[in-house]
Amino acid sequence: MASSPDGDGPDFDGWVAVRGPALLRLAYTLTGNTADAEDVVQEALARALPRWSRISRVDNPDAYVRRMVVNAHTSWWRRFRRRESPVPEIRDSQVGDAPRGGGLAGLDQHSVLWAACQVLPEPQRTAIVLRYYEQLEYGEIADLTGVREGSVRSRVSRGLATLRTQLAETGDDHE
Amino acid sequence: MNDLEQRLTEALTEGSQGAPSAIGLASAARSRARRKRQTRLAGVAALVVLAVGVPAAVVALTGDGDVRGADVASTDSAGATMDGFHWESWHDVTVQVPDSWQYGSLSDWCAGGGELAPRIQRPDTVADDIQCDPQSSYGITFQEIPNRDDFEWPVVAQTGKGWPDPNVVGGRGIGGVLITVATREPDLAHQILDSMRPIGPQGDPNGCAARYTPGSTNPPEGALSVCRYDENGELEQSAALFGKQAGDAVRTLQAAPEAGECADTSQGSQPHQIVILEAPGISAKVDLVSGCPRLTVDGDVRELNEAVAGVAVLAAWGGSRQGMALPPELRTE
Repeated sequence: MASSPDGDGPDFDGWVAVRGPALLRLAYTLTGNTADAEDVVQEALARALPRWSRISRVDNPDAYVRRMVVNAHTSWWRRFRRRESPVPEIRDSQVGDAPRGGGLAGLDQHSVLWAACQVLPEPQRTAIVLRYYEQLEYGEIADLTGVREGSVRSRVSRGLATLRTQLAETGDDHE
Repeated sequence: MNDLEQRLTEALTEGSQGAPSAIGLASAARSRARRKRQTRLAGVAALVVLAVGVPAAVVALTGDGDVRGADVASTDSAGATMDGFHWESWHDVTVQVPDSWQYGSLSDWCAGGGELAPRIQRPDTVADDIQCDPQSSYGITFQEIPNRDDFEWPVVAQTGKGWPDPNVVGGRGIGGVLITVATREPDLAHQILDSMRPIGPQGDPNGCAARYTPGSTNPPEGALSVCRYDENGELEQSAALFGKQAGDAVRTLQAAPEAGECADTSQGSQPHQIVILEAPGISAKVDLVSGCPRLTVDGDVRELNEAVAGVAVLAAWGGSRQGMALPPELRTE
């Protein structure tokens, strides 16, 4: 990866070329749709760009920008933006499948969990994604989101309970 | 990890493969950064939300509900502080707020049996995860927005479960910072919104610069300025202590014991919050580094213990940790 013009740290375009896909995957997992994922990551990177000389020199620019992506997703501004209720995007593998009973019935287990996760309340969804997709510890999630660790654990617990119920309703709960 | 958790991890990993392509991402981010000055207020729909229920008479007075340009002067000509008010700052703006308003999130006002007391909320305010009814209390919020033009939203009553009854809600944007104010009375909302102004080169009325550079603090006469900056060096919060409170803070800082070595200094080079405390004759800096918070008083490294944190740092903001983004060592559960 090329260095930034001042000689320290990676340059912005090179860093985005390498890390951008992972940021988009995180944003897509948080938002459930491609347009919002692009919006969130572009917003975070647009904010990072003027500060890149400083960000590129921190020990972990990846974690720094990841925090900006999560914050861009959860910002008040996005919550109050008028939008239609989020509908989980149908992934390509499901095209052509004939659902047996409507709703989540007929989807494979992973699709059930993905769809159910996307309709969790935003605080629970964010905590679940950071815990089980990013594999962060509760303390790390608390630091990243600015919420007490107890609240993070509570959000994860409630989110899992909802997901467990969804699986049970589709007959896929084998726990 | 149990079976559900394992399947969830697999499902999210598999689902994430549907993410959009990263081709052109860097150039798209550059374009967006360039457009930030010209972008219309994102959330013009949010303006529509605020305008719902505007009585016809109010619409006529404000010219069909159009936003009107704000006529702003900087803090270099801030004028007097209103009786019973003080200045609250965030990034490049400052605004007068009633002294009775507490710090905290507007959305968790009901936690612990709380009342609908007005609050001051910043983007880094820590909030409890609780559903209150109404969803928001009275108070003021600060937000960064893409639109850097100056504008005002009309102060109007809001209906629905979002806000307490009675209420009026208004907003004002200056230089990319939006403040939203919710009060019981329109006069108070107008007083607060009208006081908002950008922070000039001399700093805010509490003596704090909008962006930290060494030597940038300019305390008012007789005051100890306390300025909190985020990891990017932008002003998060400021206060000016006077009289006994300032004297107690200075004595506590001067009496802080020498600091030993931290067990973990790995985070020291990471960007972090700092707090500057300055008055004639004393200059102190707190580095809020997770794992190794540090206090430096007139060049000497001292221990940032509970007394210093409580008296010198948090005293500037009511002595409470409520809503403060602090490293783990200074938090309480």
